Amino acid sequence: MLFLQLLVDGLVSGCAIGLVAVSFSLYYSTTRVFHVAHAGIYTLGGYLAWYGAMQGIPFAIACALAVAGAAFAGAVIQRFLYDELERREATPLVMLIASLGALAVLQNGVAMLFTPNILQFPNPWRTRMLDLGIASVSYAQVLVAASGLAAFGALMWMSRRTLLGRRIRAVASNPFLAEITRLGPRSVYLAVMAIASAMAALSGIMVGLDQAMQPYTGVLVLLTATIAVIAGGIGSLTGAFVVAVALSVLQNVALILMPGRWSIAATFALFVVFILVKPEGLFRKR
Amino acid sequence: MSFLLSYLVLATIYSIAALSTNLLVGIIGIFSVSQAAIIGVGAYTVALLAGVVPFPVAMLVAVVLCALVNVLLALPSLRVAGDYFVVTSFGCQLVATAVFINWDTLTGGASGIVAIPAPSLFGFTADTPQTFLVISTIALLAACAGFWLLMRSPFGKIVHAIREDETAVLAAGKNVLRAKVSVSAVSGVYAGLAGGLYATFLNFIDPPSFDLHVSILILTMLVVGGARTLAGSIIGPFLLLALPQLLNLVAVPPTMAGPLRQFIYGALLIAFMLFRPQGIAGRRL
Amino acid sequence: MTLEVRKLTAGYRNKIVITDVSFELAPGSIMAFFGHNGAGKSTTLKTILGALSPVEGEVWLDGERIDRLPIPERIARGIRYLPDSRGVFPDLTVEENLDVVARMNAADSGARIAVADVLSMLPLLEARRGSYAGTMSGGQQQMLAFGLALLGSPRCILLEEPSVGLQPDLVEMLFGEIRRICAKHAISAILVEHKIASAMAISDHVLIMNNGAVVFDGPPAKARESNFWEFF
Ligand SMILES: Nc1ncnc2c1ncn2[C@@H]1O[C@H](COP(=O)(O)OP(=O)(O)OP(=O)(O)O)[C@@H](O)[C@H]1O
Ligand SMILES: [Mg+2]
Repeated sequence: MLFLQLLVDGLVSGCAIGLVAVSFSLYYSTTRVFHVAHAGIYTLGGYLAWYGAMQGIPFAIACALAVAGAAFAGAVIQRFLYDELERREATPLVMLIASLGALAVLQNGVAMLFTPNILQFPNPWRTRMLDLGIASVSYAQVLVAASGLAAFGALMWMSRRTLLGRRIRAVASNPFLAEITRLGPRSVYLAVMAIASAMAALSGIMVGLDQAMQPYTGVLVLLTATIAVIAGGIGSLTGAFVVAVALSVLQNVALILMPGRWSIAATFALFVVFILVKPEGLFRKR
Repeated sequence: MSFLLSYLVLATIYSIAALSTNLLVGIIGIFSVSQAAIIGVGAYTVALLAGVVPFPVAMLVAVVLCALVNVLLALPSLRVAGDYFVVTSFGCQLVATAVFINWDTLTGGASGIVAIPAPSLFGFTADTPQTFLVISTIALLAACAGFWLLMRSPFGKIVHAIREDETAVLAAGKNVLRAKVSVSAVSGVYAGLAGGLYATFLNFIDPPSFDLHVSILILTMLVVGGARTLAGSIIGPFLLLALPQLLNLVAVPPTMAGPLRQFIYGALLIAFMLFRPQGIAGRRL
Repeated sequence: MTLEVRKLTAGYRNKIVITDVSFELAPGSIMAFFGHNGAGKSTTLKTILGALSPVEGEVWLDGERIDRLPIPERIARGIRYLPDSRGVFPDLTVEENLDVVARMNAADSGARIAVADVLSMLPLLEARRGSYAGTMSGGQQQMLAFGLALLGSPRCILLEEPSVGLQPDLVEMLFGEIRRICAKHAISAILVEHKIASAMAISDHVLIMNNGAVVFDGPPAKARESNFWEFF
């Protein structure tokens, strides 16, 4: 049945967008920096893994290397761009323009290294199908959903149960106190950036595996993700993930009524109405 | 020769575009990556009307439409807090591009609109770069005069005072919202003007002429030249439009030229924000 | 001496607020620090903490000069600061608040105050271990903030109006605890307070500031006789 198939496809790609949304939200609520270059990290991750796969490296290893590479790139941006700007007491507008610059550098750096053309992963198993009865999914889709849910679960666990998770929540909720109780806000920012970048990269890889890659699509993904972050309620990781999945399902199911090329316009229109009606988001923070 | 002339014409047009962005980013202080979308609205309007109504009428419609759209887009930033507007701005740009590409009965889709007639005014047709340069220079001078006057008007003074101390201005009972709306309307007018000139000068427009990269380019021009001043918005475009010509000197494969250019714009944004946020001739952002 | 402040001059961007402030704190002693609103008390504490850098003068802790060190280095050496507001992590539970601060300060040497000590000292917190700090009342949050300022190995605690928002019997309880813990671990404290009588009752030493300058420095008995009230 078409509807069920679209529903399942929406749930699957929702996991990928959810990962971008959650990682963006984590970074934003901790640092209050609107990190638009996150879209560039997403792109970078996919291309690094593709490059590894093209060299004949097993997919899992290429994937791990790419995630590590993206985390490193994020850490470089944090250390040499945002930290520097903060030291110079830059205004949020200046931070934002710099972040946009980093986005342009990342996307176009990728385009120059790997050509601006559409690329596909060479692994033949990615299109093999699995019949679920109500719908069928590809192996790649299984990986998209599994990695998205696993990473989200791991993040929630980390946030609740580990020392780093507590430090992150502490720094997010009171940076001055964190400084004077030696929680090390700087190193927390760096860690959060590395984690968020790793998650975005994972999402970028999986989407690339499932569909294809192009250097400039990250912005569209980030737009949907940030819409989910705001609609879910800033600071609520669960809200961001749930709304991202819901949006993705909606976009997919709407394909019955409307061609896909209008879905971004429809999503955005929905968002504009939403922030006018309920600017605080669906999932209120405590 | 005509090569230099087209460079000059384009630089004057982009200067008007940079002034438009300057009013939003530099003067009101709201982030915008959707200026190319507004310019696109102006360009498509003029392109569609140019053969139907006289050029000045087409321009007028474009300018009014752009002012309206720009105010509509800026309104959320004046009402909802802070970073929401980043999302709105990105959203507007991406949606505008989607509309330019997909509303193909109107916009010609990905192939765009060709053979847009050159502007004619009082029986005089600007169909060569020389004559067009006269028109675009007059337009730029008018835009500069408008910018200068606006900065000295009550609206400009209020908006300037808001940057210094918003609460004091509010406490003084000034109508902050009206001042910001007025400035963004003027910004829209400039975008419409730039768009109309662009379409009639090149006689051809397509969606990539007004996509996110172009918004970033205009923002880079503003940041390099320097925000919040008149001089900055003119220095930036004249410098950055020379960059592609410089890149032509080094052998870059044609598919790489675009990404390389945009890579350099990004690097410039980063470098200026880090080391000289006021740009070459601007004031602190 | 635990803390020595010598000829300290400090302020904000091109505006000097305190001039030539000097005083000393013996181990285990408590200094009550009074002054009118805007006298410069918070500015003095923030300079000792390191949130402001002095224009002139020196700060010494246990014989080591600390006025050029960044904040975390001073905390590591035993400076503690209780801010006058926002002294807790609202998105963490009481237990998580204490746990995260204790663990990040566990490596320090010397007398150690652990989470268990804080909980037994402030039984009110024990009862609310699982509550999110942001959902507690102002007074409860103040207790937790005080607890956070004690963890690790404090040598000198800078307290900004710890009594704010506390009911009267809790003020007495809190001041009693301050007295007891300072004596027990030889910790010194600076107590900025507008509740003058209660603060003087537990202090060894009174400092009064007027328009950024120290106008009285002496024992509480002498302070009671003096005419410092005119400065308020
Ligand atoms: N962040 C700041 N920037 C500029 N000036 C400040 C700042 N904070 C305080 N001041 C000024 O420094 C002076 C001393 O302020 P301070 O906060 O030290 O006073 P205080 O003694 O703690 O007063 P209170 O009893 O009200 O807490 C005041 O005149 C105040 O206006
Ligand atoms: Mg004070």
